Amino acid sequence: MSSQGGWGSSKEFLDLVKSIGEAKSKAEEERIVAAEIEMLKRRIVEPDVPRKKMKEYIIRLVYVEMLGHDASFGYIQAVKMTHDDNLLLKRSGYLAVTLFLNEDHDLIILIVNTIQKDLKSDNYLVCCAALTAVCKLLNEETIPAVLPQVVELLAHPKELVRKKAVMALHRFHQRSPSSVSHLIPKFRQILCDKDPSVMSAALCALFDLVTADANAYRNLTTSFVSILKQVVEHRLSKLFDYHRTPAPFIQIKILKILALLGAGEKHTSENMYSVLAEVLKRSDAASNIGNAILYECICTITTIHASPRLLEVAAEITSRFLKSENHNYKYMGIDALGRVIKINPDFAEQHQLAVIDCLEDPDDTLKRKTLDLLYKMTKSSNVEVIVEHMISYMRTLNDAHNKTELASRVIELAERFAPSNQWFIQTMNQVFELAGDLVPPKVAHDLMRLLAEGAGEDDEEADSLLRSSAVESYLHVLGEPKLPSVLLQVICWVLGEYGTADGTHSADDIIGRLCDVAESHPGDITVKGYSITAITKICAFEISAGRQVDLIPECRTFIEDLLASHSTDLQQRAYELQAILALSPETVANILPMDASCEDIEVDRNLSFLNEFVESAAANGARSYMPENERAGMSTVVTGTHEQLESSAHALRFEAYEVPKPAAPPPIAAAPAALPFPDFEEQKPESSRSLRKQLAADREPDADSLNPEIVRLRLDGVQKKWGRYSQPQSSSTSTSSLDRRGDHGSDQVTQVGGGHREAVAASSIESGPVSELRQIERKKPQPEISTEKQRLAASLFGGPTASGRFSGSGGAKVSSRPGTIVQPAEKVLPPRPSSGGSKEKASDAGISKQIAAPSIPAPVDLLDMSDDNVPRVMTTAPGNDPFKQLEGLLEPVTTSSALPVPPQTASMDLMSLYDGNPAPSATGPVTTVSDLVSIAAPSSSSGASQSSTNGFPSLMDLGDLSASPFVELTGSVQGQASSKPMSQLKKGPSRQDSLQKDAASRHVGVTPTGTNPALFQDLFG
Amino acid sequence: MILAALVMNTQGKPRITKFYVPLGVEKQQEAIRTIYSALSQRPEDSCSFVETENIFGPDTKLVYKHFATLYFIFVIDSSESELGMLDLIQVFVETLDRCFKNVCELDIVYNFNKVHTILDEIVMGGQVVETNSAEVLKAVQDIWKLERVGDLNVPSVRGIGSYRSKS
Repeated sequence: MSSQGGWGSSKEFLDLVKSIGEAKSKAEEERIVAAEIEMLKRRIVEPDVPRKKMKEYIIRLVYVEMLGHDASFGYIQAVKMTHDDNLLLKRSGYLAVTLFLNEDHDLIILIVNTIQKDLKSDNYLVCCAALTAVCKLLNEETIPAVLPQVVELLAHPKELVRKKAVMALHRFHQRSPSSVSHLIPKFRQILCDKDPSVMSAALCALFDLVTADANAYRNLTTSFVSILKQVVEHRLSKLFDYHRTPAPFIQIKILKILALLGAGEKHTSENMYSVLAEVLKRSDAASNIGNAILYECICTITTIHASPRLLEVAAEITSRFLKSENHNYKYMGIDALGRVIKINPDFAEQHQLAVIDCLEDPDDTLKRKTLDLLYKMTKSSNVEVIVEHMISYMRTLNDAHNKTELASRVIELAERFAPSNQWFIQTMNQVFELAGDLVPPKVAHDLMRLLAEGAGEDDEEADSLLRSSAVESYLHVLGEPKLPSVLLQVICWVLGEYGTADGTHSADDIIGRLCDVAESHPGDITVKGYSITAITKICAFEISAGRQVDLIPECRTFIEDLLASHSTDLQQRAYELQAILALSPETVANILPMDASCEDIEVDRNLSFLNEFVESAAANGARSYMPENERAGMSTVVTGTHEQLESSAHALRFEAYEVPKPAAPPPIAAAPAALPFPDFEEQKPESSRSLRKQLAADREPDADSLNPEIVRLRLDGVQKKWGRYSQPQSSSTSTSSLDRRGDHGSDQVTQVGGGHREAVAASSIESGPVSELRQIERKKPQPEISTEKQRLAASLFGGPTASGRFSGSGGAKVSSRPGTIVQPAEKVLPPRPSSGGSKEKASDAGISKQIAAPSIPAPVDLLDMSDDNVPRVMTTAPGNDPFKQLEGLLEPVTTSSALPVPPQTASMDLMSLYDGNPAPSATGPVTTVSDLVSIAAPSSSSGASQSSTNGFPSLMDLGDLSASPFVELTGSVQGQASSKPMSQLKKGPSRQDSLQKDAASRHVGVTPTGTNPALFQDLFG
Repeated sequence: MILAALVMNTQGKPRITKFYVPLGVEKQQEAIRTIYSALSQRPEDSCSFVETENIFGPDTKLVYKHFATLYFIFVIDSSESELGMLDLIQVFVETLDRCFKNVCELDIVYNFNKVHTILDEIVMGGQVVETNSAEVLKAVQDIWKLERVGDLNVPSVRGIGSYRSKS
């Protein structure tokens, strides 16, 4: 057959292709194509174009359209060509039509008749051409027109036609299930067609049918099993072999169907076990297609009712995939691993290094697949590492779709497993920065809530510290040029609420920044609203602290702008700010108390305090109340919604109700006069017009004006406050809580001066800076990748690894790793200790090296170099991750072994490391080290007794001892052991208690009646 | 099912495009561009799969193979086997090779209607119909034999050789 210029290509077409191919630029190409289109447009409408010429034109049209240009002017010619009797022209016509038109195109109706005719043709090739076209061109309305003919073809003598007819029916079923519903039994029938290729076509259709409803087809299981058995046993003709594998696509299809049929069905599954074993046995693991079948087996085995024996084989194959050098197999291996660990979670641990390899692979697909896998196996012990990887991957992404998905995953993981609030806030900030407005607003509200409510512990100091650090980080973030709106809202809110709380920043400073924010986002009303509200709050805090507020000019302009804003919401806010500036400190303190964002707002839904007013009004001849639905006119409704829209107005607006006169004076002016505290409390309900608060009230149906104190303290509905307008809540303030708040405010200010440093230090031990430390440690040059990987693996896969490493399966793992220095190190190690001077220590070193070999791949004679490793590992010791601690436990032994060799001691090294860190804590890590060493020593010798490389009698005793520390170690992995650092204790299960305590402390002198309504449910639930 | 079968060269120029799901011309071009930019960024030894959720919806990926100057690409959903698709590409290329004797990019450009015929014998309506390249070839040759009856004036083409060596 000629390789070029066969029929169908004219000289002109070849010239066209040639000139496009030689085009120097995109523009030149465009020009050529445009000229071609012009030419074609002219030619095809000429009368009496020879049919063959027309065919060429149409082929050229197809080509032009493939390049992305509109060829719709020629569609009709293509349709006409399908009517031609000449097979060549007809086929060309069909080809063009299937490429040009989709099933809903208007021209289709002109083809249906031709298709009908062709389906009845004596020439099977014409039938085939029509059947191929049918798959693409028909929709729900046109399918019935050709259905009878297609069904007829199911009985065609040629298997090629039968096969295509089945395919066409399958396509019809996909397009419009109802149109072929009466034919579904046919598919079962076709399964018994004497020609296997027709049967295989039916499998495609049955796969879809089984996917939709497995129960209806479960009785076919034995048929599928027997077909598969015959295929596997090579009973089909050699024609169906592909690279000596019998009918692989049939095997794969049937395996997929079996997975659907056997899922959750013990009996059905048992029928498959033997054939699955047979497939596994016979598949050729050396060929690609053989592995395709094996992978499909894994999918089936892990989906159906489990058979331990088959699972074992599946796991084995998965290991082989993961260890393969071929990236395709690695990809399949990661996927298979995800399936296997669903049934056997411990399986992951054996392959951690392979997983890490994939995670660090430059191959994007592989990396993403691995992140998928990690996402599925995230626990609280490895969340930090996984999220860190996700975020660093997110940095490299630039399409919105993937970013959104990844961001939502990060948020989900952070909310579910966050080890500390600080970490959560930092993570969220990163997500906002990277994914910006792709993040749902609820996440921002959760973040603000968390900041407002603090750690949920009985520790106001830590909370304010958290807030200060948030303020600092946000002020820093504001320096960035382009920030997403959501993040800006959070920033404004935080600055407004806590910007001046710790005294490091002056009010003017913060207000200036807030004005900048608003100014640089002129189009964003929400951000502006947040900004002006924040300014209002800061002014209020200043006033209530007794300081004179002198607005900076920048801010005045801003306010003036807003006063004339098109947005009534912004106007309202600006007016409020102006009004507040005119009030006395006392009043302002009531309106916008310091740090009151978590206080509840009380709602008296009966408006009982109004009774008096209503009565007197009625006595004066006012009309009685008429329910809304009885009223004509919409004015009241409008008012209602308007009030809902008005935001921070509640602090001010309710004054209007307070004065029992129809012609109320301007609310703000009335405020200072009409504010004796008891009354104030009663007025609160008026602010409850907004739906949100009514909801809050709904949660407390027993809200009773007789018992206001108790009711007020219930924190139910706290999350309702996270609506947009809730920040400056003031109304819940009772006299007592006011006092408290005043104290608290000054507390915060004074504490900052003295206790600040101390507090920082404290928190650095507690929870936060772990991640910082880790970052520092990351920045260091990593001499040994495998150390890093090992640690990564450890932190990802958590507890079981430890036992795995001790119990010898780790040995196999290590030796199977290619291209690291681990192996030599291992081999060299055992003899070394005996040559060392101090027997005990040296052997400790050797053994522990051997145990932790993957962590410290440096050869023994370079031991002093390992000092470089030590501090790096040690930094993780105080971390939150239990497994990290465990690893830390092992590593220090090396330190001790290294002691005699270099002049410096390990602890010196440690100290020097911590010099670089913010707020070094002298005691924390160091004590840990010594503790750890003492624990690690015996446990490592247990490794010695197991590996029995050298049996020092003195060690045997220690080996006996080892049992208990070791148990303890594994215990600590589960977060129960006593050797946890402080942070561990801090975030123990007592969160609920401390939450309550915190709630109690917030409401000094009053007994809380209800439990705190799962403030952190989202986070830790 | 198979959502699309594409052949494009390493410059991103489409050579064969066949979509088994309805997709407007604009969308098709966009898909081709996105796929090309995804593929051209991939290092040589990476795996043959790329997730394409942003083009073809959830759970879809493309399986591709790189031969000389061409990418052969199948876009599939989760009901097809990824590794199996690699072999399907192999079948496709083997058939082309048998058909054109040492197939090269230009064969595909100049005979793209032929290539479509071959593809139609392998994949129909998004489902794999035949995986034996000998069978495919036989079916295709049957068609061509018949077509030739009505098409005697095969235009002879000259000068291709020189063009071919240039590119």
